[in-house]
Amino acid sequence: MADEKIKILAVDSDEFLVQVYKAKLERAGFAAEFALDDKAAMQWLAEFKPDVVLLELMMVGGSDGFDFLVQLREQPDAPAVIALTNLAEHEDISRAMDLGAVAYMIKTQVAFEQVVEKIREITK
Amino acid sequence: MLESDKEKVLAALRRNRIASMATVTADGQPQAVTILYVVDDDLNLYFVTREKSRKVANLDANGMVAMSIGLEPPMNVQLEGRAVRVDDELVRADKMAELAHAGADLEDLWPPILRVGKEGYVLYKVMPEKVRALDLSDHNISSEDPPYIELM
Repeated sequence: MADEKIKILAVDSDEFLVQVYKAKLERAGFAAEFALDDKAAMQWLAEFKPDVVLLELMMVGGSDGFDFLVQLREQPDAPAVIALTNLAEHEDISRAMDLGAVAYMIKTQVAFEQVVEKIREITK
Repeated sequence: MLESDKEKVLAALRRNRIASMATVTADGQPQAVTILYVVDDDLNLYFVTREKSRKVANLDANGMVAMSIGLEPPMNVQLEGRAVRVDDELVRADKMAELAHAGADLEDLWPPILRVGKEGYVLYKVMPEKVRALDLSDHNISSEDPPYIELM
């Protein structure tokens, strides 16, 4: 049943990429939605109640992934966050993990199958 | 145009998702790129690209494109036509979603689309003016009967 699937919310300001994420995640057997900014993401958190958030830390249009992580910390039953980002500096990785990300993946260094494996690992 | 020929070409275009596409720079130099596309029932192709990409600059100056699609038998399609921006929001959303699904089918698409810039996307519709397909589905090809389908 659809409502038994693990739910993933992809948050990224790249409007094409998040749709590719959604399609790939659905093919992998997850329920998936996407948000292009942090406001939309907060709405999806309430409505969709994802188990995992894939989060780009570096977004355009005023959203900031680090701020979103801070907001998430204040949420009861916050989902696990995988930072899936183009940021590759050590200080960004440390900051994201300190703010509660459970995993950090650099987009250009992973295949999407590795993202799927990571989701399965943290939702076991 | 024979409907059966059109259907064969459409099937080949739908089997593939990747095209080599040539545009022309403002000073007349050819430039080839690889694109992800989807096709509609009228043989129009759609692709997205970044607003600041070289092909957008090329297409702003000269909308003509040439494409080669399908490296493997039984069919290679050569298509020439005009690319126009699609600004209609509903069409844009529909085709972007269709392209995303097409992209999701391609394992190897993942890295390239992540290495491009962060500016917005432009959706283009390529309206074919000439379509020529090399059809290798018949194994009894002779010089008297060239294995080409010409639709336009």
